Formats: sequence, structure tokens, C-alpha cells
Amino acid sequence: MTGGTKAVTDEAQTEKTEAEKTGTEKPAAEKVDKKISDARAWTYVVLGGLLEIVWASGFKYEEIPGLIVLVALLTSFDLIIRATKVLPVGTVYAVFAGMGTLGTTIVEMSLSGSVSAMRIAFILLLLACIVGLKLSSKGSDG
Amino acid sequence: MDWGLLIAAGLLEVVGVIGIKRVAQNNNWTNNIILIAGFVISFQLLIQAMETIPLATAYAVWTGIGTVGAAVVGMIFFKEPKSWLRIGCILGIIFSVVGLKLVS
Repeated sequence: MTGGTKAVTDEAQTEKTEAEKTGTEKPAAEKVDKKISDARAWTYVVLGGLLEIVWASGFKYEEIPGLIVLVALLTSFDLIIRATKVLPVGTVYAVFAGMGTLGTTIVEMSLSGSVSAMRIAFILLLLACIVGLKLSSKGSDG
Repeated sequence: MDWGLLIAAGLLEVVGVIGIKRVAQNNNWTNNIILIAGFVISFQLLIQAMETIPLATAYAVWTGIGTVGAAVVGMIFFKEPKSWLRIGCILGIIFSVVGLKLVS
């Protein structure tokens, strides 16, 4: 027992000195990448959804440069993948799709000026469900 | 014919979502190819289906299949939580997304 613990400690120490030799930053960065907090993951989902508005609008309106559309597309998928490491994929994808539709609808509404009570009702329901999902993810290990 | 394409597009979107989950678990070439191939072919079929099916309808059906699929696959294959609040909220999001697309 004691011998085993000592071996582990020795190993950890060797690792530590090695890390010190090569620079301590790398293992720390890996640890952060492995497990981000729930709050950060939710921020990623919302940011990914907002970027979806950029690239989805980019397909429709030619004024948006192709490079911006491509960068927005790749960044939004990267954020979604990072969020999926912590949150359930079903939740992430539903919020992602919801944010995209919410954004494109708001962009369209402000460009065309056609605001209907029906649309507002759907938008409010959508927001309520996103908040509900956020609340339901509390207390589950995902 | 075009409805078949649209349904295939929705199912491939689910393949893409499985890719997202797998890349999140293990970032290797195979999983990245599942993700990219799933979404690229899915978009391609969606655009093709939109030639005859109205854009809003096509998009609503496509998102609906993708989001339901993502939730179901997550619960069955990746053991994601199955609380009623969670299922209700996902259904609510789909309902409002489809509603918003059809109203416009």
C-alpha cells in the first residue's frame, strides 16, 4: 500500500519536474480544455447560435463577404463541439437551432418591418423553452 | 420524390449531430468526417428539395427532424437525461421554430 502510494508520488514528481522543464503551461491548458464549466458551455452555445445568424444570413444576402461567412460557420461549429463536451447534444442542438431561427427572424423583421403578434408569441415561447432547458440541465450530470 | 430528399436531408443532419457528439468525445479523423459529410450532404439535399418545396416549409421540416433526432439519439445512444422538463422544452423549441418559419 505505502510502497504503491510512494511510487505514484514519485511518478507525479517526475512528471512535475518534466513539466517544469518543458514549461508548465501545457498541462494546465489541457486540463481547462477537458472540462469547462456549465456556465461557459452555455455561453458557447449562445455565441455559436449568434454566429449561426451571421452565416445563415450570409447564404441569403450577398452583401456579407464569403470569408466572414466561412469564419462564422467554422467558429460556430467549434463552439458547439466545445459545449457538447459538457452539455447533452440534444440540448445543445435544440438551442443552437432555436437561436438561429430567433436571430434570422429578428433580422428579417427589422429589415421588412413586419411585426406580428403571432411572431412575437412564438419568439417568447422559444426564449422560455431555452431558459427552461438551461434550468433543467441543473442538477444533472449531463 | 422531393419529400424523400427532404427526409433524407433531415436524417443526414442527425448523422452530422452524431458527428458533433463523437468529435466532442474523441477528436479524430473518422468522427470529423462523419460530422462534415453528414452536414454537407444534408445541406445539399435540402437545397435540392427547396427547388420544389417552399423554402419555409422545407426548412421547418428539416430542422424538426434534426432537432428531434438529436434529442432522441442523445437519450438512446449517449444516455442523456430524460426529464419531462427537458423533453417539453425541446418540443417547445421545435414547435416555435416550425411556427416561426411557417408564419413568415
